[in-house]
Amino acid sequence: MVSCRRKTSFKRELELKNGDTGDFIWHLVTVTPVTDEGGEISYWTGSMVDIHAQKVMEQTLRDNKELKEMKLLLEEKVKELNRSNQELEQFAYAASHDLQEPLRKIVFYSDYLNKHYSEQIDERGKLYFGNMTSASQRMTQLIHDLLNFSRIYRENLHLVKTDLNALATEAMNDLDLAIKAKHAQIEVSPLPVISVYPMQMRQLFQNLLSNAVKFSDDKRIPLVKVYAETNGSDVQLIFEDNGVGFEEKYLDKMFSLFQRLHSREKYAGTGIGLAICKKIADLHNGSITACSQPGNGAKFILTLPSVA
Amino acid sequence: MDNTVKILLADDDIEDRFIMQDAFNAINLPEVPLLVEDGEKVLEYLSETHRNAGVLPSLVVLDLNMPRLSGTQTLRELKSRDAYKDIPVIIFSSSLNVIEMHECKQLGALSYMVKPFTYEEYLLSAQHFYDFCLKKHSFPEFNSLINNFK
Repeated sequence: MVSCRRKTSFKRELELKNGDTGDFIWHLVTVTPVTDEGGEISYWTGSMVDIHAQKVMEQTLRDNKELKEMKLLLEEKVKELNRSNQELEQFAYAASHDLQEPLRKIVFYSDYLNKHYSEQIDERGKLYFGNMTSASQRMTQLIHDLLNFSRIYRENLHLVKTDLNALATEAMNDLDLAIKAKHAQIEVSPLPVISVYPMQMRQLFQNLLSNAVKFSDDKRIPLVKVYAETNGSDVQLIFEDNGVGFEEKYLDKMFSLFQRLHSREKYAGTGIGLAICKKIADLHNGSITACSQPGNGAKFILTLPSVA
Repeated sequence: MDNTVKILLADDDIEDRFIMQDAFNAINLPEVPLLVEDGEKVLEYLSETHRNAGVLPSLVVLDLNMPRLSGTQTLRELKSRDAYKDIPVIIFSSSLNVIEMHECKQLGALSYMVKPFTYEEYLLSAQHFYDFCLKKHSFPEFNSLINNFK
């Protein structure tokens, strides 16, 4: 050892193995040379002090500090994410809000021209005119939907213990016209009472039921079944129909904003319904998925934690 | 008596003012609307009319998004002055916004309307404004508007 060679005292923290337990215990080892009159070392004196408790405490404090730093870092990231989320929401809101204004003018003027001047233009002109009007109306609908989509966020919402049977009934009442027009049959098995954001959950029910009735197969009377299953601590709500179904390769796409699997001529709509359902499922810390085979109906499965 | 009915409308959008005037012309009431371009002009017009002991408008219609003095700011000013606070104010906005609706209700607006998308609707709005001044038409109350919106 250097200090031996230099004949100086030596002080070091060392882990020494306890022969009985095999544990390593921190010690402070001090060794000091004692010299005679001639300056030669006559012997060494030293001590070994158990400083294990102190070392453990230091380590814990160090870990604690690191944890605290990590926590601060995480909090910073969360703040950042919240901010960018909020900015996105504000963007969607402002965009749809401000886009409405010029669009209203386009709709207004085309309506005006159509009513007052359509007799003065030829057939092709009239056709194009009609196309222009319906395009602007479609855009109105898109912006309206985008606005509604951007309005769904957790702020100012409160979980309420809600009887899902009542929600289902309300949603069915809202869809009364469509259900009667298609002679659709909707069977709702007893559903649980759970904590949800009621307005949003009602909208989800309405969107899924509306889809189930809308994408019906002409060959059979639409039949929709709604039932609940428990899966561990989760509640699953299942919306099963006997409609046209879909190819499962489109599953991810289906839940994105403004995605449609059919032409506008075949089925109306902007493609926002399932995107809203997904957003509402996320809002409840749940998830939504579906399974189907073309021509064999579809099954939409909403999974919610029993304490949302 | 009909000659005394004046409706003061504020909108910064020149096209909207033109359309509104056009609508009143079409229902044979070209003299009824007084169109100004923002909230400051509303206050100027009212104070001048008041000073000259003229007849104040029977109704004020405010666009929300206006430069200088917005619809809500103008509404606040109007309701804070004794001379004007009894003039009914209708908010005429290009979009349905429940937060703005709540604010306008709080500030004492009579009702909230979304600007029409068609000419026919404009004619109807103009007629409703006029009929309201003759007490022949009433606008839906805020609570029912807000509930419908939900």
